[in-house]
Amino acid sequence: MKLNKSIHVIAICLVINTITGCSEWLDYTPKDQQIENQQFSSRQGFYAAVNGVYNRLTSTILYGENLTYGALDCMGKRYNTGTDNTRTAYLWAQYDYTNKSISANINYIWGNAYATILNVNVILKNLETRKNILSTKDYQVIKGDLLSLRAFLHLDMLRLFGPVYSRKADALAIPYNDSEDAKSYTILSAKDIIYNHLIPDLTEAEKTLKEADPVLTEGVLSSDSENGDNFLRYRQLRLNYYATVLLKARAYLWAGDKKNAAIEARKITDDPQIKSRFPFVNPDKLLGNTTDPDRAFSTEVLFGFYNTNKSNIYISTFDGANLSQNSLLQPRGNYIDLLYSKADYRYASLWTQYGEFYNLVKYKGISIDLKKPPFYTYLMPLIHLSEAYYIASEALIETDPGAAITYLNTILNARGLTQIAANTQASAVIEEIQKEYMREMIGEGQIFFMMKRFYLGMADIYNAESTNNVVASEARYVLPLPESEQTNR
Amino acid sequence: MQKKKKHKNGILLCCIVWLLFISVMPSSAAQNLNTMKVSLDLKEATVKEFFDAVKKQTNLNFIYNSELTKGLSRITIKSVNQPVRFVLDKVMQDTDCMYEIDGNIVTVTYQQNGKLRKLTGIVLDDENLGIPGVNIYIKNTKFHTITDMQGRYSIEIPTNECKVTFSYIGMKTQDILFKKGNENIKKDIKLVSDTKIDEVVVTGIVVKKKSSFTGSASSFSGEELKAAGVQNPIASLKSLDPSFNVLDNSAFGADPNHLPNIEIRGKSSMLGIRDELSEDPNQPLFILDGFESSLQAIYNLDINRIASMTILKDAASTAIYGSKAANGVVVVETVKPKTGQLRLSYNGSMDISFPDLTSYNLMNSREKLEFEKKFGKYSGKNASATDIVAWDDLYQKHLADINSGVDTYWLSEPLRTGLNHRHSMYVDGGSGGFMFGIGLNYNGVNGVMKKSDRQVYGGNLDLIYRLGKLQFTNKFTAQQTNYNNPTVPFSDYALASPYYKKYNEEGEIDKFLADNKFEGKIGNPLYNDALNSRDETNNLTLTDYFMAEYTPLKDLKIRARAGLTTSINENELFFSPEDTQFAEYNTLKKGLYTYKNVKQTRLEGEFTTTYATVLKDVHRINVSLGGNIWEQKSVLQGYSAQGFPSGDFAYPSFSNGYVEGGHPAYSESLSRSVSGYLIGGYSLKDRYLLDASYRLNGSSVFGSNKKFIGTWSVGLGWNLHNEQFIKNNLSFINYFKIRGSIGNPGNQNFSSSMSLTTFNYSFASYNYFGMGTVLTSLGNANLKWQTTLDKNIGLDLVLLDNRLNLNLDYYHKKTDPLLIAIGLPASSGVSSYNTNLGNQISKGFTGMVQYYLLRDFEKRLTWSLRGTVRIEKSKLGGIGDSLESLNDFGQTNKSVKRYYDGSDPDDIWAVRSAGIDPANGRELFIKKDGTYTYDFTNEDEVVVGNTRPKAEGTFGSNFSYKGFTIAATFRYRWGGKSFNNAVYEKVENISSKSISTFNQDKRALYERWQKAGDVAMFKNIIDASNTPMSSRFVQKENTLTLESFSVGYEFDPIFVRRLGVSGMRLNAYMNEIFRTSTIKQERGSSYPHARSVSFALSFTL
Repeated sequence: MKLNKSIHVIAICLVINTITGCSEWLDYTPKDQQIENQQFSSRQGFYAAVNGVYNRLTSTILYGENLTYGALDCMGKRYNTGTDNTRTAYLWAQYDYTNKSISANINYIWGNAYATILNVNVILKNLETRKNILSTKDYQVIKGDLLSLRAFLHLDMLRLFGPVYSRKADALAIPYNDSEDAKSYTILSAKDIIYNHLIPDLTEAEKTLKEADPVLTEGVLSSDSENGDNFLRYRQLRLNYYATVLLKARAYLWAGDKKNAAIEARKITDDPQIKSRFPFVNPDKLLGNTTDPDRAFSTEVLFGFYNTNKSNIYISTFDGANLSQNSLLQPRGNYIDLLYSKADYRYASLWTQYGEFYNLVKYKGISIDLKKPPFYTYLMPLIHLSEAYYIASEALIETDPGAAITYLNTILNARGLTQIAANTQASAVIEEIQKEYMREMIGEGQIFFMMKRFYLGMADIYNAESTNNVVASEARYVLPLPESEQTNR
Repeated sequence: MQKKKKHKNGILLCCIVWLLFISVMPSSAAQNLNTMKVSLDLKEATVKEFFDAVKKQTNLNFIYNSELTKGLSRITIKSVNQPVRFVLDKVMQDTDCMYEIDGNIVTVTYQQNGKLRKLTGIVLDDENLGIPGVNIYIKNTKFHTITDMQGRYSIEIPTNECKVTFSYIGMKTQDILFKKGNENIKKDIKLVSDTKIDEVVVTGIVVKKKSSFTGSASSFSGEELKAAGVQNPIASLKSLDPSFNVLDNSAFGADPNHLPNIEIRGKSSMLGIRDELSEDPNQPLFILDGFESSLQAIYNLDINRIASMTILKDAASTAIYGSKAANGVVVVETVKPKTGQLRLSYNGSMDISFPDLTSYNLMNSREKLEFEKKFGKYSGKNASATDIVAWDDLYQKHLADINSGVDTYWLSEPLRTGLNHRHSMYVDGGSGGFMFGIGLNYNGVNGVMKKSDRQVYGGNLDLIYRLGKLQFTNKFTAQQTNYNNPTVPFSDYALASPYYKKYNEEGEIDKFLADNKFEGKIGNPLYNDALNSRDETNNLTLTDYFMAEYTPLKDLKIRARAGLTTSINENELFFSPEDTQFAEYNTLKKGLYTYKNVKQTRLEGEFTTTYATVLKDVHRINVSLGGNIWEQKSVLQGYSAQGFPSGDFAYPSFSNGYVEGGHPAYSESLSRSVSGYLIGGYSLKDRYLLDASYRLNGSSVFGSNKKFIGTWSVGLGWNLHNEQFIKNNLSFINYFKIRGSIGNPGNQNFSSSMSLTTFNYSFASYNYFGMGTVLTSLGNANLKWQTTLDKNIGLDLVLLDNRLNLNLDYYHKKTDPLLIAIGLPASSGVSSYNTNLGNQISKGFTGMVQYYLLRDFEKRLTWSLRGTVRIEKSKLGGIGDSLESLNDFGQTNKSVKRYYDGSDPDDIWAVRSAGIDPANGRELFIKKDGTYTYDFTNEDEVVVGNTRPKAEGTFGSNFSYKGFTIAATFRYRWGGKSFNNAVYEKVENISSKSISTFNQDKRALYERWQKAGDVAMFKNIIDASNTPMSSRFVQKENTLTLESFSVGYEFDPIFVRRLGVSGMRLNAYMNEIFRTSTIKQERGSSYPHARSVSFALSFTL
């Protein structure tokens, strides 16, 4: 009897074991890769995934070349790209989007940007389903950083592939990918993208970051912590609260929404703490310093990325002393003298003269103690504080010219330039702002977007390639969606 | 919600599995013996009262001698709803009465004193060998026994007249009447095979009588397979059954190390989804001795070890394999040791194979030079004056060489006559409850290309131990396979121009055939071949199958099995630093060594309970309840190294380091599955048949939300030959069955990783935050199983005194949804994604016919003709534009395959061509609207043919007289089309660059347009531009092959016995000896095809 009972107990145990075991036994976890469950089982895992996404920006297909000093600056006519029609830089500068090599590159840019967005979306999904793994602060910071990054990438795709907004705001532009599902997203109009997707994402990011971003309480924290846990430090390498707000201003301005652009930009320019958090570059440390100048103006950088390959960019692309004409990118002769005044800190720190030519030294390596290189050694800027002032100035010039000119003068002043007169005409102010973009954001890809926004022709000061006059045209400013986007719809 | 459902399925499945383990008690099954139940409560009743009471409840009529029963004692019994037999047994057991139930009549007989006598003997088969496991019983009584391993039996039977039944599956059941008597009886019984054609179907779990089976299956004995050829079982099966399709591989020809692609009844899956460690998703499932096996194992299996091979084609026959069965199943049973004294059998064979180069049509040296001249190679467009002179010098040099007799036939250089031999030996015997078999085999193949060989060494040990109603079987196999592949592909020789010399003036082999400014550097294949480059693979496979069977009752069998297969496959590929491919490499990077190691382990366990009985002689019932658990794990590891010193330093320790940017490779894949199944079969009077099954499957391959699936099948059959109206009126019909089945088998030849989202570390991007991980694949957790709705209708007919056999089958398979990798717009973040979408319909017809022209058993003379046919079609649907990227890929990568709704995946897509304009030698294309144009655009693509033949099959004849046999099998393919790549690449599309480097097809010289007015098949001879793919290169492919021809002689047993041998047989085979085709196309670009002649000897001691 007793034996019988124990057999029953054992049998029941076995049955229960099998039932629960069956389903689990079929769950397969490969050891050669990390699966989703493992990846997001810890705080470290979440931050590693966030780091992975931000690192994707470093790829030469994206901001490591094409979307900064490469394709975009070539299209923005920042360099003389020669006449060799097999050279990619030349082809970009000719806007030859049907060329095989260019269309392949366009395809890579597009594909990589959206693959990065998918990475973001997968993390965002897990962020919601595994909230309990993270503290509220971690949750909010990651969520804000990622929503903002998703908007950042979409905005750049919109600016590249979308219409010239002032002309065709309702034209179909790009899809907005906002879920981890592999599916076909509808192509939306530029207006739809900005107001129904980008701005809501950025508003949400701004809201969560405002509650948790250490940049608001402790500043940029651009140094290692003592315990080695840097997840909530180095805020300039993430789309922090300030970068997010400025990004929002950038998006409004792209849509010609000056009222909102001014509101967002002024959240930064008028922030009482901004001057201490992001102080203007100190000319004493910058000028005349040939060993370790901060050519990135890192203290003013609201958002940038970490690129260990930065000094190689100079060596392989801008080093006029050692490169053949076919690999070198430099503006046409005397152009720099045309654009900059000699007093400009940027003239002295970003360029070196080489006869009538100038080499861009923005990304040149510096002499450093390899054990403890300064933060700016590997920093490539993507969003500057100055842009807030430019946006505020541009957005207010019609409604509040006084304030507008003051904002612009703040930057001119910080660059060692003479201020413009308080009664300067609006058109002249705008022209000065445009020049400022060209002076300030060389090698960052923003100049092409600025020109597209104003639908500028490229001649004289706007053309560093040649003295030719390139008229504005949508065929040049609007990149065609790649084949890979149009098929399988 | 989803999670809950998943668990529910899991629980259900597990319950089924568990039920099997805990509920299988003999008594529970025995209760099914009789459906009639009685409830009685009798005290001191008379026999009559008892019988009446039973009759009242069951309608059974009792016939008995009332005189005799008078003396019986009074009956007291209480039963509540018990089977009538149980009650009768209980009442009768203490009496001298016994009863027999026939229909609703119970005959009660009285036996004297209840005495028993002993009946002993042995049950033998046709070959006078004892048959173990024969059921011996007296119907509807408790008298039952089974034979032991030697076929011996012993049973006690009543002393009055009784009928004893001897039955064994596959054999004709015999009833033997024993007259009244007291003495013990000794009686040997001989059972004969049940019917003439394929009596049983071995499904791997149950052995069923073919006549009561509704599925579509065909079985072939080891002897039949050997009659078609001895090279490998796959090749033999292809000749025997039309539904077993070994896809023609034009690239790998007779390469002994290239496994064929196999389909049973067309494809059930779309292309593309296949990773390095997984199998071809259209490949059938292979079952070896009841366990899942691999194509490689079957391909390597010694044909002499095979007892039978069965192809299960439709849903009803593959039901027990449920989720893995959509591509059909091949069940292989190996020989079992036989009882008796020690026997040794030997089978040996030797092949001679020689390359078949008839499909090649290459230029000789003079033709090549003439073509080059016409093509304009030596006229040097825009060439400087000095160059023009140099070009002419080159021409003169070639011409001088040709005049001196240089005309190298490069094709024959790497080839040889392959000499292969196989030996296999099997020793078996045993007595009492123990039997054993030990086998050793060797198969050495030397391919027709030098440095190409394959050696298989195998050993196996079979043990059977029987203890009462328990039987244990263990089969252990060890197999070592070593093979080498040539490092220089055959195509390199086919490309070399014939005006180059093999040897230079010193009689040495030059490194380069040409090394000059104009022709560039052309590596000499002979030079590369002479180096110490190598491509070696070693594989060790160990397999152990264990099975325990328990037969508590004659109708009930309980079986548990476990199998383990482990294999290690190592591949080393080394290219010497001297190889011409490294000519331009830095010294530190010359030479390449690649190592790859794949370990695979497969575990399987199964538990089955089978109950089979015949009720009242009319209801044949069988039920199997079982569960299966399975796991397969593969791990791949490897690395590559480069930078080797010249000389004999061919191992990785001599290398300079890893290949730049390379890192060690590691990948693993694991698949697991569990299933529980219930299969039932019922036949009424052997006329109306019903099979049904249900199986619940769980697998790790599919999405975490869709792990479980149920598969089912239903089959119906009608044995018309058992109907009176046929028996009475149409006596020329011997066998006539109509059957149909429907079911939804699945396919799980997919990689597990498709359902998983995975991440990987990116090492390059270490920063302040540490490392970063990036998404490597986006899995689809909702990925559903791919199942195929499989419908089959068929008939089996035997006519004219068993002279004419006919099998016809029509099938319709619809796979919906398909599991495919669809393209998505790039903004989705992925370029392709695995999902369930679209459907594919494959339908077709297979037929087999055999007719005996002569059949005289007395004179041992037979002559038969036979033929098979397969007609097949596939169609895609519901995919929309989701495979557009695949179509674009096809357009840019010179493929003629496209995937659209309503089209056949085997369609050839190309722009129609109106031929070459005689006026200018340019190709004229036909646009979609029918107008002509010179401008090619992919927009004008249409279907211009289909690669699948309209009909394919074999026909042949067998003749045998006394011990002498002769057989021939031809294969025909009719109505297919093929894109002729040889013409496309070697007649046109010859670029100015490749003209020097490569030899071309003769047609480039003779059949290309040269001057206005030429009516030519091919474009202007001097046109070096790229020719688009058009219908001009699509040709009809009708072929006829003599697939096998064999002659054999079985020595007179009396004669060989004098030599101390009990049987001896000699065979000669010729394979692929003759081939003719309407398409002239190079076959065997990487490895030539071969013809072979084999001789085989077998004897038994």
